[in-house]
Amino acid sequence: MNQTYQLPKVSSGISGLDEILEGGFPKNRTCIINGGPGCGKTNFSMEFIYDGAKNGEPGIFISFEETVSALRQNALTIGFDLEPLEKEGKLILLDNPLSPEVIVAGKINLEGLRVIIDNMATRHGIKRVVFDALDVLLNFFDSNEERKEIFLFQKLFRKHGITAIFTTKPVTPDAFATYEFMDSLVDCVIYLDQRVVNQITTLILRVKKYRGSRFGRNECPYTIGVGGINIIPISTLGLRHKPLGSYVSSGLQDLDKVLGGGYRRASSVLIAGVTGTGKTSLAATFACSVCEKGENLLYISFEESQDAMVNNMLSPGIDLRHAQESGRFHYISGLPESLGSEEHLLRAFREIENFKPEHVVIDAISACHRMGSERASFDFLVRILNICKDRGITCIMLNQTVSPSSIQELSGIEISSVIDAVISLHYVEVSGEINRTLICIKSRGSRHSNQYREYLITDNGITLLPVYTGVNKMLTGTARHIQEEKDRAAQIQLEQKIETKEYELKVLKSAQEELKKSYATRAIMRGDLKNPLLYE
Amino acid sequence: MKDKKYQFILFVANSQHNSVKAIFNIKQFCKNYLEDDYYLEIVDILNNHDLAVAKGVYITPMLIVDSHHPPSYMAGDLSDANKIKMELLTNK
Repeated sequence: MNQTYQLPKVSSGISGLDEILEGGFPKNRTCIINGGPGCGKTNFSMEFIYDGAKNGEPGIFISFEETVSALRQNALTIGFDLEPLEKEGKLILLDNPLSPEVIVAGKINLEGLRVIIDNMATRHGIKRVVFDALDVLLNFFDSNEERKEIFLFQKLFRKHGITAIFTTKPVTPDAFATYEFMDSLVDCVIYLDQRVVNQITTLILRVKKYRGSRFGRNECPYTIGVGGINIIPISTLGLRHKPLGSYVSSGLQDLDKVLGGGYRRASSVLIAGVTGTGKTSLAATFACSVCEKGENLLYISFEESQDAMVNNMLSPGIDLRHAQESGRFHYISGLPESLGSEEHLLRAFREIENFKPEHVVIDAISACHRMGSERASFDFLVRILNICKDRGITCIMLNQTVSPSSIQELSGIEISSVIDAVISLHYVEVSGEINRTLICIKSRGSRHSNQYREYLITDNGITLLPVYTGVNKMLTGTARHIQEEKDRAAQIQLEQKIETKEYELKVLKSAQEELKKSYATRAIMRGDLKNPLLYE
Repeated sequence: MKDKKYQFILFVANSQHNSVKAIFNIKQFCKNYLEDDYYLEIVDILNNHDLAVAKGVYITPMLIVDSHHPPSYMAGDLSDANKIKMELLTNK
């Protein structure tokens, strides 16, 4: 028997959390969600109840802090309409078992609540229970009583096969004695935290313990929005990347040749260069080309609005309007600072899931630094890349480098190892002008050119000039023109020289002919005809 | 019944120890301080949990002073007679 026993689990209904918990919450057991204000404890537990109510597991939500009407309203803001489910008897909200107005005159216990839950569980087949802000209630008991109350609730839950969640606030040093037992009484403990780094807030989840099950122990960012909680686990076990696919044209035949055939599908391509080298133009050229072929492209911009970008691209003759109208070109934009990296990721993730693009462009990854920390931007990019690679999506990333020539900083954010192809755009400054050149530094799985190529951004898009194979080094722009002129002049000079020499040769030859003739004539006159060779 | 000055509903559960104590204590209190000017209804949640949900009573024992507007809630075994007295005197 190789198969190990798997704990029965209940889906949390929260996207991504089941993956971390390897299946969900432990069935018929109790979990704690611990977190400070604003971490979304109520949303977490409400999603659990709401999801259960919709999927045949009715639940009771008991709030010790909020009123029933506030709960309904708050749930609506994340897209959960509770009232219909309440009417069907699938979801029951109870509030304020111990409101502050209650005068405590002597010992109390929660037998009343147990009786009510017992009764409801029998009547409605309740399978899920949430106690929101249980710590409020426990303030009324000493630790022995607390333990007893919790124990009696757990006994009741077991009797009805109920999976329960308690939410609590974080333990402060002086309150430690009150709560310390809580985490050990339950089977699964999840910690929520809210952190601010460089003015950007991130919500972080960590599973602290899970009796009888494997689980992801790492911290994991999450977001709260319409549709509830969203978690995209960073480290899912095993890479499921698709192999590099067929070639897809970059939109420029000459560039395809440089790349060894074009971009590979499911690959990640980095286009790096200083400002104004035409990164966006190159990406837009690609967008035009693929959209025309009937493929979808998602453009994630951290710099320009859609209208501005489409309009600006008209100047170098790249017309995205048709692609836009056909609905094949989707554009999402937003300043990196406007959201946390997690929300940015979720936004992109949703768009990828819904729009199902064949290609994604990120303009520009250098802006991702502004999402908060270096780490946050790295996570964002790596996870986007993983999402794309899992789905076989080509991912074009633009990176704005600071200095014009350093190859080291091309990749930016240390992601070079996951990049399949790198195109580096450069300025070359010669004789008072700046010219643009590009080189393909890396192109996994393709034979790419090793030559710098000069390119022009014309009114009709980007044009690559033929490779200049003259003397010395590579030349661009005017210098190249001058060199070409010089070459032509030298050629003409040589031609003229040849002509002169040819004329001289003719003159010499005719002189020689003359000499021969006169010599023969003289021999005939002497009567010496023994050597016939002389007459030829 | 409705004409009495003090209207009480006492919620108890399962004839638990402190519920029994609460019943004893409130009866003692009424006898000592309220003479005959009160009406006391005792509800066992086990038999009538709909009323408990309607009144928002989840903790037992719970005494509701229904003659107050809004009604006052007193939780516990009601062993503290002074607290009840204070509540009845200050809140009308």
